[in-house]
Amino acid sequence: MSYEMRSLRKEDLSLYHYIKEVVLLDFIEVDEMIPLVYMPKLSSVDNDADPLTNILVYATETNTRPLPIERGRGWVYFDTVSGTTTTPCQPYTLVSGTRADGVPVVGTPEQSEMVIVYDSNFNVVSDTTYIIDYIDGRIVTDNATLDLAYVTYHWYYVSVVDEWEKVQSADSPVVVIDIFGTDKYGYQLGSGKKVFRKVNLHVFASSSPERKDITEALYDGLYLKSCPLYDFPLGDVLEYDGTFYGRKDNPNKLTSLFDRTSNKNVIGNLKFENVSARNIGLPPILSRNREEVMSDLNAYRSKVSFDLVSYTYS
Amino acid sequence: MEIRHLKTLVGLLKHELDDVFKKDAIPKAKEIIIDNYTNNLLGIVTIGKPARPEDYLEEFEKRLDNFKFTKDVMATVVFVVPTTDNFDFSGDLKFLKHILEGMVGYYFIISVEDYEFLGYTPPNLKDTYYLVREDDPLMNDVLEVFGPDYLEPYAFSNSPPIDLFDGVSNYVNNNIKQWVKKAIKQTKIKFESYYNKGAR
Repeated sequence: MSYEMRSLRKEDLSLYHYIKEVVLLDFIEVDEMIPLVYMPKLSSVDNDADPLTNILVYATETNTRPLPIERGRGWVYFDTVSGTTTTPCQPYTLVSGTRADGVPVVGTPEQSEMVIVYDSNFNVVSDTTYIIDYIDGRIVTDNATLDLAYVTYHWYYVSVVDEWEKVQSADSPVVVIDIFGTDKYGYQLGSGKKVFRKVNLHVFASSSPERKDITEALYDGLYLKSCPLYDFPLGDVLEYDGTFYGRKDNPNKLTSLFDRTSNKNVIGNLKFENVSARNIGLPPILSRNREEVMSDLNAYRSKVSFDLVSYTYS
Repeated sequence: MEIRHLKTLVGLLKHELDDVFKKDAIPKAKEIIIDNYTNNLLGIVTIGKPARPEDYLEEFEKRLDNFKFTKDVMATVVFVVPTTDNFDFSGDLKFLKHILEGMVGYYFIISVEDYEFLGYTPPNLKDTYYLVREDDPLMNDVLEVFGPDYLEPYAFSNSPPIDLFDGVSNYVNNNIKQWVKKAIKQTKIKFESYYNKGAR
C-alpha cells in the first residue's frame, strides 16, 4: 500500500518552510571560523588500509547563545539569490536537474555558500568530500585523511517549531505554528472545496524590541500574501538525520534537488486572510516574584492569527 | 418598546434586531461558551485554589452575563463575539487567562502547609496551593525535603491555548441572515400596525 501525506500535513510543512525560510529571512546569523572538534563516540573508524571506508563526525565548539543547533533552528541549507536587498517571494535559487529518485524537476539544490569548511591552514575544503548534518551542526566525512579544522556557517536565529510542547526545547526567540481548526465549504457546482485553516503563530521573544521586530516581520510576511503548497513527493528537505535529502548517496547537488512542484489538487497558492497581531500580556501570578516571571518565556509574547485559505479541485 | 422606536424605520429595525439578538442569539452563544468551558477545563484538576478551573466558573458566568454582545454604531447593530482580548479576565480571572493563552513550561503543585514547612512565607493567604516552575530554585528544597515522589505536575502544564469562544463565530455567521430576516418581518408588522391605527 502506498502512503502519501495528507493535505493538512503538506500545508503545515509548506507554511513552516515559508515562515522559516522566507518570512524570517532577515533573521539569519553567521558564525565565522568556529573550531571543529572530532567526535570519536559518534564516529566509526575501521583502521584498515583504505582511508575512505570510515565515518568521521566533527561538531562545533561555540559559545553562541541561543545555541544555533537548538530545536527549530539549525544551519541554513539553501543559498539565497545573491544581490537581493528585500525579501522576495522566492528568495532561493531555482535550477533544472533531478530529484534524488532521478525524476527531472526544477528545484533548489543544497547550499554551497552558507556553510564553508576550512582546513587548519584556512584553505576551503571541497564540499564534495563531506556531508552536513544541518540539524545538529555537524560535518560528516568518510575520508580519514581530510584535515577539517574550522567552519563558517549561517544559522536560523529564530527557532520555528510546529508543536506547542516544543516551546521549552529552545531559548527564545521561538515561533510556534499552531494550526488549530479546519472548515471546508463548497464553492462551485460539482467537485472542489474551499478550505479554511485557522492558524496562530505564537511568538516568544527575549525582549520587547525583539518581539516587535519578529511580530512585524510575520505580519508583513502574511498580509496580502500567499505561499505555495508543495507536494513533498520524497518527504521534507532534510532527512531524519539532518542531512540534505538524497545527498548521502549522491555527491552531485544537481541530482538531489528539493522539488518545488506545487500540489496539483490546489488551485493557486495558500492565501493568508484576516491577519491580525497582538501582544499577550499575562499577569505574573504563577511564580513567587515578578523577577522570575520576567525571565521566562511568558515575558515577551505575542500572537499573529490568520486564516490559511485554499481552493481544491476535488 | 418605546414610542420613539416607531418613529423611524431604521430605529425600529435596530430595536427589533437587538430584540432577536437578546432572545435567540445571545443565550445560545453563552451556552456554546459554557459548554466549551465544561468540556475543556472541568474535571481535570482536583486540588483547590488557585489552580482549579471549577473555582472560576461562577465568576466567569457573571462576566459572561455582563459582556456586551451588541453594540450600537450609527445606523448599524454590531454583534460582538467575545475573545480573550475583549473579554474581562481581570481580577479573579487572571489565572484563567494563563490557561487559555497556553501555559509554557512545567509547573508542580505545592500546598501552603508544605510551602511554610520549607521556611517560606505564603504571599497570598487566600490560596491553598501554589504552582512552582520546574526551574524555580525552590524545587531543590522540595526534592531534598520531600523527595521526587512528592512532585505532582500541574495538569495544564505546557498545554497549548484553549479557545473558549470557539464556535460562536460560526454560529453567528450561519444564523445572521435568519435573524435579520426575522427582525425585518417583525419591524414590518409593527410599523404597519402603528400607522394603520392612524398614528402621526
